Amino acid sequence: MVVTSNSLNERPITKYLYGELREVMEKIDKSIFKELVEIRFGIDKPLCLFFQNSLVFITKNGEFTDDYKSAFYTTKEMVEGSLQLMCENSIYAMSEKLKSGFLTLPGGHRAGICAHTVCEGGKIVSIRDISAISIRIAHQCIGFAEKIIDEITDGKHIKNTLVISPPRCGKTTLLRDIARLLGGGKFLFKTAIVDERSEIAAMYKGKAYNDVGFLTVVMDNCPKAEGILMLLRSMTPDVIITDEIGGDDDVYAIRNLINAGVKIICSCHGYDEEDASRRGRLGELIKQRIFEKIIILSAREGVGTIERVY
Amino acid sequence: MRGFIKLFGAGLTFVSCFMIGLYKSHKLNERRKTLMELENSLSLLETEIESSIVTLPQAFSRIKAKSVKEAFLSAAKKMQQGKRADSAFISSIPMLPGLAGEDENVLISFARGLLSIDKEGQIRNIKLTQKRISALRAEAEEEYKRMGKLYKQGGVLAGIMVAIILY
Repeated sequence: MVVTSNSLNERPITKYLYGELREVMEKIDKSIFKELVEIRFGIDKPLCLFFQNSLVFITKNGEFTDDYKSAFYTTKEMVEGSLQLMCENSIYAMSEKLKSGFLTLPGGHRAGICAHTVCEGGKIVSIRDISAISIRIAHQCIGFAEKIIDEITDGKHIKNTLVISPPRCGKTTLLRDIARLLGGGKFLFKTAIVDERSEIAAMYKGKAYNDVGFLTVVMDNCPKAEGILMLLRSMTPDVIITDEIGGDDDVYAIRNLINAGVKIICSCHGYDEEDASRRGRLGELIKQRIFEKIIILSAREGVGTIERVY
Repeated sequence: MRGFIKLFGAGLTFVSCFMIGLYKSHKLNERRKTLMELENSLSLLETEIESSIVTLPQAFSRIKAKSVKEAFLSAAKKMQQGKRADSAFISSIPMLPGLAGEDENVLISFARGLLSIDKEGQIRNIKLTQKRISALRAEAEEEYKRMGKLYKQGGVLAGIMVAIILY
């Protein structure tokens, strides 16, 4: 299994950081980006980096420290300037995306935003006063799905598959690699992805920054239920892959998909089949044995431990 | 020989004075044109920002008016390289030909307004700049009408006068 960080050498993430914050981050050894999970900074807050199992603060000289008091503190200007750069100096054009709380950056990295929200009638109409930004670095695990792919397909037929796992156990990573293998990596199925939060394919301006297979098409930033139905009508896929299903609309769309003879591979939160079965309409799908394969993931022996496939 | 040198010197003086007059007149004309093209380009920018979801670098790259396109294109490139909109545009202002007086200050405050986070703020900034540039352009037109010919003719007359005195 090969873990890659998307295009970090080609498009350094530091390009989106403003002023002294960029200077500090550029002092850090580039090789750490391979292990880096998240960069977090906010107004008058210490600059911190998250790795898989640890958190470190960064000093003004770009050195690691455990003492938050000696860390480099970011200012309002740095936070706002960084958001301007992430939005290509066009926050006005990204306002809809910002309302959802995150932006996808080239390379598939995600910038989560904390700000003051302006609401009308219970809905967010705009955001202002950005207070903190967290950049999650996109990684891809090539080969993660190799050991289970033959359970999902024999090369001619694909089985409806549900991946069940608690958060941060590798659901999305597994789905991404399944898409890569089905969509040209090992098989030649017409594969389609509905990527509601741009996490699976990491699309940016029409280009997928994660390898999801050359035969795979992606409906990006689209609600799952609508995306499934749109793909069904427009792209005649053999299989549709989507993440974190659970809503009634999702289940309705999946039923339509199954009726049309198209296969579904999706994921949901849960510890096991019993836990997932308690989730309303999704539970009905599971009980009706719509899914021919169920994969349970955990973090027991590290993220992405495959507990069971049956 | 001495007469020839004198004649040559007088000719050179005349040409120099004439060229200075021409240059001064050209500068006034250039300022007038630049301000006019800036005003038109801001209208285009307003349409781009208002009607679609293009980003500032994209909108800047679409400006094609002859004397201002280089400056906007350069600002767009700087933004794409990771510079903030205000500093990218301010550093491109010297590429605009013929600017004088208040022109630069108006453009600097336009650059600062580019940091507005909402569409309404961007449009307000563009409209305000358009208004200010329109006033500056009227002033530049007036100045060109008044002084443009004067500089040209003055250059010729001053050249003749100095040449006669020297000769």
